[in-house]
Amino acid sequence: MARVYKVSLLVILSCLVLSGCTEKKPATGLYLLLDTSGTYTKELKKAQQIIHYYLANLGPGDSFAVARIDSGSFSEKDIVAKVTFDHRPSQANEQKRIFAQAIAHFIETIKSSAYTDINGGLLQASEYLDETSASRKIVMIFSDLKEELPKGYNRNFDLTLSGYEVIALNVTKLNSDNRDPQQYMKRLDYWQNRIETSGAQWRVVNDLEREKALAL
Amino acid sequence: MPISQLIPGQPVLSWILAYLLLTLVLYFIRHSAHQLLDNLTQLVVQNLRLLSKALLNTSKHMSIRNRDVLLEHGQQQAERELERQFIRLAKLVEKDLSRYPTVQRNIEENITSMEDKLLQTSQVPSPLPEWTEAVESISKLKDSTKNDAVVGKLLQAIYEAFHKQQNEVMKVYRGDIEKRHTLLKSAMNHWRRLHHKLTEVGNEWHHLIKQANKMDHQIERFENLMQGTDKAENLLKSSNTTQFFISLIVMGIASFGAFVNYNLIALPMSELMPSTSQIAGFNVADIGAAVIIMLEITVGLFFMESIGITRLFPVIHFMEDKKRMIWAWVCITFLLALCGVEAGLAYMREVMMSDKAMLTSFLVGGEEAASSIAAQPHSNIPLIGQMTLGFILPLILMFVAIPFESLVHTGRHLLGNLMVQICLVLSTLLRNLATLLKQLNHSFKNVYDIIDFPPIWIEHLIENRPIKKAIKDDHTNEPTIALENQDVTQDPALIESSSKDKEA
Repeated sequence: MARVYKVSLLVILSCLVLSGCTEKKPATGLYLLLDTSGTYTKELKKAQQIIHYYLANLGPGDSFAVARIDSGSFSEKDIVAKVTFDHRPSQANEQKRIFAQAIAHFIETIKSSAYTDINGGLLQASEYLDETSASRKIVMIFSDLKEELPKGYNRNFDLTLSGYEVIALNVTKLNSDNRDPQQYMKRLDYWQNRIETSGAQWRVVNDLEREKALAL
Repeated sequence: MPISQLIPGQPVLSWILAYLLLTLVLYFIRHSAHQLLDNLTQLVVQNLRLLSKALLNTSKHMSIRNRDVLLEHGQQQAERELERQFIRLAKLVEKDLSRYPTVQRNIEENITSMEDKLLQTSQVPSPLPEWTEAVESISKLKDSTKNDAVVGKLLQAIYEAFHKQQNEVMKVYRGDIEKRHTLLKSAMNHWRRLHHKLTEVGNEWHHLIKQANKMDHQIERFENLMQGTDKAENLLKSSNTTQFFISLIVMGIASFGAFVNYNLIALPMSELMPSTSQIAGFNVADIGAAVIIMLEITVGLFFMESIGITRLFPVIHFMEDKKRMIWAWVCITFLLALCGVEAGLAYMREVMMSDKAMLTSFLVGGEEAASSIAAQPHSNIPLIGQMTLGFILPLILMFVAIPFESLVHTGRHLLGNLMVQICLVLSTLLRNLATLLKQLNHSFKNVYDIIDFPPIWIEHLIENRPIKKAIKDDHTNEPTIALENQDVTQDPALIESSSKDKEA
């Protein structure tokens, strides 16, 4: 009997050790900001394809949110769709379907905004991603990176994006950039400087056909 | 201060002075330095030799142990073979002996029938009538009476009657002969039957003798093993190596099977277990799939053990037959349940794959593409194939028990042999290292003396001069010479260095 007790104790201890060793799988948190200002809304079809691409690639436990950049983006109301995928693949697939439908509906009914509050969007993104406690936090900005704030909005603050990856997607050239390319370069430099100062990594992907560049 | 500045403005002289100082220091500490080198070398060399010897002893012990293990394993195998032969023989004897009363009765019946027939054939035919005596008495009549008509008629009548009687007797005789032949002919069947039965019995005995010869051979082998002869050991070694490699190949094939099985159930397991958790970097779902396969193999092992194919677990092997059969039924029930689970998981996998394909088509082409793919006719063959595989693979993996047992038994000996070889190689290397260190010690001392050659050379000159001078000047001064010689001989390092100087 003593032997049986010993074996049982050993089994229980092994189970405890195993359960103690269980750790959370590193999850990815992705927050995609969509610029809805002016003529940039025409580019949103491309954004939909990218969203579908990431929906196909993200797995159980990962978080994904898509938000619009409008006149005042530091708001939960600007989040178009958000989801943390279930650990069961079948449920996760269903969530992806619903998410894709929500995005399709948003793109069909989108109205252009007068201003572009990118900093507000970034702040909202960091807030959301911090809550998800994802091990890898990625913010994607689908925009021309031309920030225009309504009167009275203050965005002169330091972002804290330590450990983040910020990827600017499809940074289109404006008419003014064509006249003076220096403006485009300056705009890119400004954002790179601002993001890197906040502790995040900065990357620009303009060629959306390149799967390698888009891969997480 | 740099060495070149020992004598200001004279770097060459400074270097020479430094060298001279160094050689002087080296000369004064020469004996101690040599001693230190010797001691250190001796310390290391002795330890290395001790270690080498210990390894050699270990290898010897392991070799003996390996031999014991090998012979033990061989004995076990021989016991199993003998047991099997005994069982075969027992069955054979049981089968034949159970038939022997019938065969005996059959043979006895045949013999009785044949005796009856022979008895019937041995009946003597009826004797001839006593005609001969009458004819004889008539023939003895006198010649005068021979021509008598009455006699002639009588003889004629006798003759005719004789012929008639003879014909009748011959007829009866032939009939009797025919009857006997018929009886003998019918006895032939009994002969044949008897012959057939006896041949059968002979064959069975021949078979029994063959089995007995086999057993003799087995027992001889077993005796050799019990005695632990070299022949038996060599035979076992070669057999063991072959068995090990065959088992290894089969285990390799089985591991591929297990891999296929794992891939079949890994994806659906993520529906049952949280795929967002990990243990040591591996998904819990993947680990769960691997555990299921390992459980199947374990249950398979228990089943094979309980039906007596393998002998890995003595607890199961020495169970009572009834309990062992209950255990076997329990194992096969669990195994079939696991097979069912796997088939279900394979079904779930196919469903998940099709769902994923639908999602991909939805994401790529929208609702229309997804609905068009859903509307397409699809074959059930992959689903059936996967489910069949899911059900059959665990049953196939169950047979891994046989090569596994062989691998465990033969691998133990091979591993032991490998360890022995490693010990021997290490021992040799350590001995070589010890020798190398000794040689290096000599070389270091020589290099030391070469660097410090000026004072040693001067010392030699000083020590040699008075001896030569004394020999030349005065032969009576021998005690001094002897003393000098004694001093020289007492310092082996000096002898060594002087001989080296001479060689140089």
